[in-house]
Amino acid sequence: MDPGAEVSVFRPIDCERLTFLAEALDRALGANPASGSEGPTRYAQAQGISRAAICAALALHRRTDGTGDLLAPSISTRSAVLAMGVEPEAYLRQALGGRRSPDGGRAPRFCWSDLERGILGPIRPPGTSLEVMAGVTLAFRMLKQDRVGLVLADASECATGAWHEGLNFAAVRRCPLVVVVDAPGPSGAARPGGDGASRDRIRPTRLASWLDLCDGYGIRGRDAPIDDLPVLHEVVAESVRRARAGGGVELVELQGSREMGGDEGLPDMRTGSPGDDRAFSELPPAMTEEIRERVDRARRSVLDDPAPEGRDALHPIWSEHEVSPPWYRDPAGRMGGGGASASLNAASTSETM
Amino acid sequence: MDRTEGASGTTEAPGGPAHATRTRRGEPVTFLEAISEALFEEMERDDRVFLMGEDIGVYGGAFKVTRDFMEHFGSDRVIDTPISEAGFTGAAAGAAHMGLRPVVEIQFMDFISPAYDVITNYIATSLYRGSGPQSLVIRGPVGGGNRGGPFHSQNVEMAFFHTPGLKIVYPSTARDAKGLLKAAIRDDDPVIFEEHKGLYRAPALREVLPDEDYVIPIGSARVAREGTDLTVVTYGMMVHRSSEAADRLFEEDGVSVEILDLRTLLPMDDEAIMRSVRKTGRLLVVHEDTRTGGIAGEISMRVNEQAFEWLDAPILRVTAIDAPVPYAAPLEDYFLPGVDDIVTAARYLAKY
Repeated sequence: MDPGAEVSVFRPIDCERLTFLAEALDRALGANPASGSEGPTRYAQAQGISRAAICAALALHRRTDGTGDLLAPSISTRSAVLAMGVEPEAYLRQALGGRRSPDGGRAPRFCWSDLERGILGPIRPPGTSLEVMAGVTLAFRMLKQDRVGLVLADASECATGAWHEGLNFAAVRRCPLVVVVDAPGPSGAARPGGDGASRDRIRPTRLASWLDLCDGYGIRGRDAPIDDLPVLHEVVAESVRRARAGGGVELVELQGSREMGGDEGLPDMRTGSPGDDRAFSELPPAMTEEIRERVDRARRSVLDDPAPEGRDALHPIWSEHEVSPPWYRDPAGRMGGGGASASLNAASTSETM
Repeated sequence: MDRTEGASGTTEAPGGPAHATRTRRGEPVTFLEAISEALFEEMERDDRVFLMGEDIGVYGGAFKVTRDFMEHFGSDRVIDTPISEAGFTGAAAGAAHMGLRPVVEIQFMDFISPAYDVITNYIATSLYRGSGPQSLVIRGPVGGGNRGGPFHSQNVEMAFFHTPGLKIVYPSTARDAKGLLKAAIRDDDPVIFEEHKGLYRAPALREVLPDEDYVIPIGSARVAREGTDLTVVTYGMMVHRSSEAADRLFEEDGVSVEILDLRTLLPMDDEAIMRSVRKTGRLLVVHEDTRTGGIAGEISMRVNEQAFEWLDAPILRVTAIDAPVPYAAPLEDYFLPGVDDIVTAARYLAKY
């Protein structure tokens, strides 16, 4: 499969291949001293969620010229960007924040956007992406574009006001938007030996299912098994088709047994879904070897990336002007003619256009 | 509904809502009508411009700025939103990503606070993060003096002033309001546009505007009154309070006051401030916003950095007191900076 091409026929092996690629990339990051991580697991994603995210993204029209569908993943579903055609080098470069990274080291690890490729990067605080994607898909409708937005949401963000306001706005305006979300709980609530963070003890909702929300918002909702890729893909693909046809917002809840939490950075993350690890064994050895070599080539190429210059932090803050550094970062300027105030004058107009 | 019959019962003039097309007929406009004209003309000029806000469509807006706009432009370009400032401001950000130019109305700018997150964390940082420019305007009424109490009277500029990536505009005249709003809509950066509701229908501000497509550049201050003895740097409603004070000071004390109307707070026109301070040697900053953390502190620091040698007196400020905006008339009158306050401070400066 060529990542970045539109896919009309879903093949589970494509999904497995990209999931394997995502894991290989995260392992490469974890093994890279430049990443500042303490070990490979720092960058690990829950495999079942990662696979499901890729599976869902493969239901989109994926193009590289800014005319395709738009995906908004979360941090824990970021591997879906690989389904949109993001190259391994770009994935690693962004995480390392070097000068050649997609945004030059300005946005955190996996939070960059590539609107031409149809990616709106993870947004913090959680929940905001739904508000923004409501507007993106409102624009699709206003511009009479045949495009759909897909939000991959963590259950944890569904308790935010932003998430609900965004969902309600999109529902009211019948935006072509599909929201895929983890089922609420146990999601680590029962995780033994948890680190005490609120995510380990606090359920995001008393609802048994997010689908119970759908009547309230006046939107259609369905659930899908996290570990049955053909079924999951078909459910998402159906929602995408209906949204594209003018059916408004659709919500898909992922059903799976998440035994050990799902946040990034946890050393023991796994969804516990049947077949989590077994699937990779079904990939042809030649394919996994090719992926490993590809990731290794990418890792070696990004190791040489230069760090950004500190002064690069000065732009682009506004569209049409450069911000000057403060005078004490520019001693030569301070000693210019006209006395102390005159030189301070020249150096302190950093917000003046 | 007949296209010429507005939902609010008014009649649309040929070519657009009557209140948004007065200049075309050579009529004077109020500050509010200047805002309406800017919106109307920009929507006519550019299909990418659309409006979102609470009750702005069918009802025409709490202050009727967009009365009959929905009939003229349709409900896809004049969008009545749920009461969800965060939701629809975030949606504006998404629409801006797709190349549209949304103008968001916050019914009273006090209510912008629910959208603070998406404005400061998302919209202001989008360009920097590599997610592209955010060409959108967030506009609405601010200011006290209308017995609105703490939820309908605040000035919000300082909540956003320290956020790189935003621009903040705060006009004081009908001419500036129209020209600056047009500039804001055409700007590639996100603009917060504050409109003092006390100016909306002030009869003294009615004026005939140029019947041409003019814009006033963002970031450019205006000398509202020439003077030689001291400089008042101010904006919005306080331009007019300061002007009254300047009249009294000249008549009663012979003091010549120069008034600089900032018009844009971010980016600030440092050059215009320094030029005036170097001319007069004395500076009084006047703003209606509360005192602590107010813009006067920033202006004072900039003058300290850039024109200290030209000062003949300490920099002073006249502001609202550090309190929530009170409701009862005597309380609010005490809260707000008034002409007497400006006169008192200016006299002290002039004699220093």
